[in-house]
Amino acid sequence: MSGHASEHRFDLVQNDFSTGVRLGSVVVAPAALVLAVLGPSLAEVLLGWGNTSDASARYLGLVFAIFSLGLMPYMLFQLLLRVFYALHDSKTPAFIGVVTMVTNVGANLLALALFPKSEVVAALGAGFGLANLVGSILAWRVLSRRIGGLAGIRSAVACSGCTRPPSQLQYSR
Amino acid sequence: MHAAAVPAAIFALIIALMVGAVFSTAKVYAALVVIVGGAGAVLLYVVLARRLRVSEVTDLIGTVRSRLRR
Repeated sequence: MSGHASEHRFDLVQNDFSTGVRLGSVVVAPAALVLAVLGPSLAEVLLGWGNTSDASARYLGLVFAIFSLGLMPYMLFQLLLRVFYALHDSKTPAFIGVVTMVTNVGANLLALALFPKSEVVAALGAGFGLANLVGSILAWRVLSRRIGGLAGIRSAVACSGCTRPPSQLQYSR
Repeated sequence: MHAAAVPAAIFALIIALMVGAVFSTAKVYAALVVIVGGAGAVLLYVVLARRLRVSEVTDLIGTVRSRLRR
């Protein structure tokens, strides 16, 4: 991606990003959904021993499950930041990072105000996912304007067959 | 691939609800849910992804297979 960015071949940068999203989604999308469902049971098996009661382990699993749902926006955000770095721009990701952090802090403060003490930690997980979603949307919009699109919704939904497969991309370099 | 992931998650949810209705012992229930639900969900995802011709899944399986054969 860095090579394509340095050659100002933004169409190939778009393809590199799209390939990254699709390959990442192959593992992250099912993992996020299945771990969100199995989180409490998994935590009970792994952590419900010794001083940790079954109820505490299940709550840890619930927090883990909510964090798991934020895996997709987190992956997308991290990949988008790599596109900025490939373009030798580290300033914009820093500004976007500030917005993401402010969103996270705001969501956490809201969680503290709205949820009972027993559910606050789980709500923090939702805030983390929301912050990454906001960061992803912001980074996507900025990048789309800079390099003339990011293969649009095809990348976001990790649509197989909508863009060229990685094997073809190798020959286009 | 998201379309293939949703039925896998639904399968895991059904297993969690069904096993929960049968077993009262928490640890046994949790272990069964993780093993049956997790393995079944992964298998279902792979099968559905291949049916939907998600080329990335086939590529990934091919890479893992070639690594294991070495």
